[in-house]
Amino acid sequence: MSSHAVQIENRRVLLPVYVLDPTQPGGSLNHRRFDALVDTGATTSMVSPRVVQQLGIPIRGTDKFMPATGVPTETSLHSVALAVPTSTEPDDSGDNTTLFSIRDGLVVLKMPKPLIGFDVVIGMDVLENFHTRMGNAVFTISSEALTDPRAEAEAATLRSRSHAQHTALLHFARTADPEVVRRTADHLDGAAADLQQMLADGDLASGGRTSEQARRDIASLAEVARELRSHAPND
Amino acid sequence: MSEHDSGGTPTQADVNHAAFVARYQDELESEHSGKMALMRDGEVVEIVGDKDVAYELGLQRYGDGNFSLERIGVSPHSLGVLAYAFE
Repeated sequence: MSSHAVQIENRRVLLPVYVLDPTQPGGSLNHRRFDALVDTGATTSMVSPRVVQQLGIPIRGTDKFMPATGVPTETSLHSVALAVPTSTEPDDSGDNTTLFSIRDGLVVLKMPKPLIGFDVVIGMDVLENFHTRMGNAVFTISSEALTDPRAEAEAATLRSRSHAQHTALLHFARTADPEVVRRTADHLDGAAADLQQMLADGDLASGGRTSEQARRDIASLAEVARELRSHAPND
Repeated sequence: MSEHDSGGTPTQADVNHAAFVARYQDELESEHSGKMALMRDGEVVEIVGDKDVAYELGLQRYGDGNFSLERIGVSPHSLGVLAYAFE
């Protein structure tokens, strides 16, 4: 399994991440790169006021937490998608290319004030989705999904079911290895064809679907495959 | 906390926050402290233990931007060492 590794400096782990606003049409274009601190002691992830301002991410609620002072502090909640580096691989020219995996549907707190050196805190709500390890002053993070096109296909199908998740799908199509994108699209078309055959044969009982659900799923699978192909970069 | 769209119309977050502070905060805190109130149009429609679960529920029921969340009492979140950064 490929992975992304960074040096632990001053006992801190900083990762380059992309924050995506999943609420905007064409949201995959509305993203920016920030430095993120990995904090295994934090149960929730946070973004700085600068992230909220630069991306124009709308408020989705209010939260209150207890800082070390013991005085409850109010802050806003925001929905974001976070692209985390999980693989660094040499490309055809021999240069290293970093691939990102997306954790979407995240509800994060806005930091009450900006902190120096990073704009995002990656807490356990994100880290629990990845494989991580530390040792010999190196932090390593990886994701199995990148190595298995079937898993990516399933993830892409799920991501297509809401606009927010649609953003993640487009990001995957535009940034993943084109060959992986193609195989994912082929797998989705295959799944749609299988389901179409089951529908024609009247054999839906084993999958627990109704005919209407099956037709919706077929349309959804085909649509995702089309989108993947149309947004994938050329070789 | 205030957020308005370009036309100056209060958002769900605005309306719900004002209603929560005025009508619900004290009443809910005794029994549901630490939980999340899912709100729509100024009304609490559900109380959920986890913010991520509450958000997913809101998305499924109403769609993004058509609801908001309010923490009842103080969050059980741990911020790790950053708890000291926000003194």
